[in-house]
Amino acid sequence: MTTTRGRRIRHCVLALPVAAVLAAGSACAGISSAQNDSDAGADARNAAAMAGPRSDQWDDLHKAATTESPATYQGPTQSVTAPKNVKVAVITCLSILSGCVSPATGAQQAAKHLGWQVRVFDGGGTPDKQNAQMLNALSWGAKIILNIAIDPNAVQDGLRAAKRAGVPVGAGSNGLDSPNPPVKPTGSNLGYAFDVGPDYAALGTKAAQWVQADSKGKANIVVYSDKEFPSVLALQKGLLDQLKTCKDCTVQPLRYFTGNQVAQVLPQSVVSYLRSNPDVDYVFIPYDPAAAAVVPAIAQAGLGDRVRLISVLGSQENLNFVRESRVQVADAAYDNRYMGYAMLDQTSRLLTKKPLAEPHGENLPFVVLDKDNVPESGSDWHASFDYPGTFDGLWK
Amino acid sequence: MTDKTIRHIGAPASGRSTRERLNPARLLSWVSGYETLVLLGVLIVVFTLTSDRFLTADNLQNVALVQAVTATMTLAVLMPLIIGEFDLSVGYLIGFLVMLEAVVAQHTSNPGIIIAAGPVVGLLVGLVNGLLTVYFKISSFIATLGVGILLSGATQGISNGKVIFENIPSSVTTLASEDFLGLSLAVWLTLLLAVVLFYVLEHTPFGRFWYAIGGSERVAYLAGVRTNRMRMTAFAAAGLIVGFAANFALAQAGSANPGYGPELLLPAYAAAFLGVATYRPGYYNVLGALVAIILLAIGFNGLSLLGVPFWVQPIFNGSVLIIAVLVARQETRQVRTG
Repeated sequence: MTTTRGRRIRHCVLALPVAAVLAAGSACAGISSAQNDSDAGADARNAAAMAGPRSDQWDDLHKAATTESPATYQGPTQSVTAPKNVKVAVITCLSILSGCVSPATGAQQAAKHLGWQVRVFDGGGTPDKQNAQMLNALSWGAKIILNIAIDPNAVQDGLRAAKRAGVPVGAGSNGLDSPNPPVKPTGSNLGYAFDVGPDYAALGTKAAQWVQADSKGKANIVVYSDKEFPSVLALQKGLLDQLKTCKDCTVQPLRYFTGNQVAQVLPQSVVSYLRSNPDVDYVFIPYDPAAAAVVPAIAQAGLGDRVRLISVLGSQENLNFVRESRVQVADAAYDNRYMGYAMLDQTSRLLTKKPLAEPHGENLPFVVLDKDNVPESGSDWHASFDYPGTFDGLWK
Repeated sequence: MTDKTIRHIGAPASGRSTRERLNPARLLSWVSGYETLVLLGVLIVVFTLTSDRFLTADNLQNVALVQAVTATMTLAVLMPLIIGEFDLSVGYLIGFLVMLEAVVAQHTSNPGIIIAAGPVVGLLVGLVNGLLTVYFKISSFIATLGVGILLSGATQGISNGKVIFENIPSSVTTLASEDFLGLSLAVWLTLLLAVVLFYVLEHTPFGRFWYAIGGSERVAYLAGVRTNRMRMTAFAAAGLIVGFAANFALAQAGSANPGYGPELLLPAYAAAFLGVATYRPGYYNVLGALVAIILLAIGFNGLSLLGVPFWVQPIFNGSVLIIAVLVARQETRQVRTG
């Protein structure tokens, strides 16, 4: 996919210094004259790159997107006397997904500092299993349950049982709590004591900045969304608000799918859409497991040279796509290990009846990863500053 | 058809030697038809010895708490299985019915209407499945799969892809939140449903006719059974029971997710297949299905308490299913060959 002429043009333009852009642009334009309509996006980017002063603007935007936020530790600063010998049950959404497991791994690392016991229960990807595992966690004797990316509406049985047992339930990666717009349970439904997550709107903003920079302000983008998840809706808002500032970008009407369509319906839908909309050159998928299903479909359909895909989470499979520039070229990721530390920090405060740290997401770091800053194969992305040491200091 | 197909070996004659009495084959014959129960007993002993958290009232209550939907779905798939058919729409159907009930709840606060919507529409969908299979002669595998896929689209359509959690009356969620003797109402209602089905299948002509059709539709027809009508009722009963399961699911979650349902299909069939190893080996039956559900639930719970890696549980479930069905098949052969 990366050896086609269209991609060469893009690399050619990106590699040259601004002073040589005009000459190189002419040469590249000569090459591109033989390209079909699908290279219109690349031509547009050439033209944008030739605009002189604007290239700094794109560089700045690219830098803003690919620089971690926050750049230094902005988590809680108030120390807390952590209780001793706490049994923590972490329920993953589905233990074969790295995005579900990484926060649990982070919590296990953090637990070593605290002398706590963490056991990970596989939620199995279904509400039935997730409810059952919450009940198993209660039977195990958990003093707190932490659910990773599990919709509280789907685990009301587990939440009711936990309430009866007097065991608090926290969460991560749902986008239900500050700094995101808090989503309170309705009616008699129960919710989480806290939900640690990044500022999803800001993450969406970063993703949009990256698309603007990558397309030199000429992106024709289709945004896919899933209304099931509050985090996706918050992210989508940030993304679309930022794209509105891009005057020459075209944002296609939102397209929706649901989680159970990821394997079959979504990939076919995306390919069909791209075939019938040949001008679209950017695809935004709101979470990595969905993108992982879409990327092969786009590649097999022979559309990999034409579109660039960006997704969210920082799962290793997707980072590998980014590393290989295989359709997916960027991933808006957040530090899942930090999430594990932050969940245990909030747990310490909750169990000692101290006020929770504000915002409840504890300023979890996030970034857009592309080929310039993607971590090496087999590694998750982690913030560059030493937060394990800082948290450890807070808990003594 | 209603004759017991299991031949239990009577008590050993007092004159037999100790060696004879301890013969492994003879010991095995004692548990013939109840191997799954024995395995369940073994698991309980093992988990009790290895985890001090296992044999506690709270834990066993927790095990039962989340089985209402799975058990009801298993009872639903039993109906077509008994007559030798499959209903692959049940997973999509429960998702559709839960969503339908949630949508109805947006327009009325009358819990009676909300709770009735699932079983009534489930019954109608079951009749459509029956109609396609019985009168249009489409393989039940294909017809019910088609109906299921159609329903998945309908679920997306009526939900607009959103989770609906507003305006679900607390009187509906009471089914899951209210306890009686330590178990939720949903669990008690599931047990009541199982008792009713057990009686219908084992002690009424209705049940005998279904088993007769499952044995040989042609023979049943020649014996005077209105096979088409009876096959229709089996599909309708499955739809109706899925409607009850939808009530329990909505009560438990207090919300409806457009992605919910399909994941319940395979566990329901796994439990139904595993059930053939118990009580009436080789035949789908209610008691066997209930034992299977408890066995799988205990296995899941015990392994979780032991903290085994996440990949062990599917291996356990798959192994138990294969071994149990192999044993049941062997026993059925022995019974049929005398």
